[in-house]
Amino acid sequence: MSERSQGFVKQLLEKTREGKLSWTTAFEDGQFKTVLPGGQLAFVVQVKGDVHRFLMLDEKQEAVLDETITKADTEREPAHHPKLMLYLGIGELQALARTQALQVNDKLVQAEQLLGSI
Amino acid sequence: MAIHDLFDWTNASVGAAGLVLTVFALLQATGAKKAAQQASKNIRQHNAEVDFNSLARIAKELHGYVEDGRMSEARLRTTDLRSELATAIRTHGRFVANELSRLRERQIDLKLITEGLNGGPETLSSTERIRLLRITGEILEALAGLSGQFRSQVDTEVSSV
Repeated sequence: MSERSQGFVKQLLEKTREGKLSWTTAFEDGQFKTVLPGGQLAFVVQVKGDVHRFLMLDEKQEAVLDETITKADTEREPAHHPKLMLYLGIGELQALARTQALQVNDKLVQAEQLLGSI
Repeated sequence: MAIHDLFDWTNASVGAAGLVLTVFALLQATGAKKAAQQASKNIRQHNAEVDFNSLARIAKELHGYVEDGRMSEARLRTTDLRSELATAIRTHGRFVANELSRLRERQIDLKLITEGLNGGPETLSSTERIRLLRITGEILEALAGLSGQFRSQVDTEVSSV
């Protein structure tokens, strides 16, 4: 299932970079969610310590995909192993989702302007 | 000739009167059908208002439990809200079509809250507690807003009759 999930993570990365997906904060620390238009599917990405999690939920909130990978799971894997690639992909997607959900870039520009005006 | 003309005129008049009566009856039937359809829509809208009002009440309780730090009660209320909201969306799908994406997002929130609370309240960080309060507040606002919207629609349509 790792390869399938990896494909979704890749697509989500692309769509997020293109500004076609909107991520929002979810309940747990380091957790972000996006609901596709129409609400039929949702994706959740989470990085908590060295645990990376990726979830795909259907319209009944059933987990169609649920991947949890720890750093320890990937340490003995060779480069380009699906599990390692998924671990890295989830990390990248979570960072991107966080930047978008918390409007990090806008806030940094605002902070620079505020500090500059003092 | 005159009798024939009179006969023709009488015939035409009876035909026209019949047509007028038929059109009138049709209009009345169409009006009655429209009124019946409107009444049925109003009843369904009223039911949606009642159901979403009850959902808002559960959401208010959930928000209150989170405020008081009563996490085991909050967990139970989250489960109730999840199942009731799923039922309401299925039942009133037509009326909530415009809000469906937002409601689905709330359902995802509730699912993730259930998961998070299942780990035990002692595992929650301070930021998670703050976030939980914010999310439950947003859920309450969304459900109360929908209930109010349905009430206002019913009131408007009833007063326009």
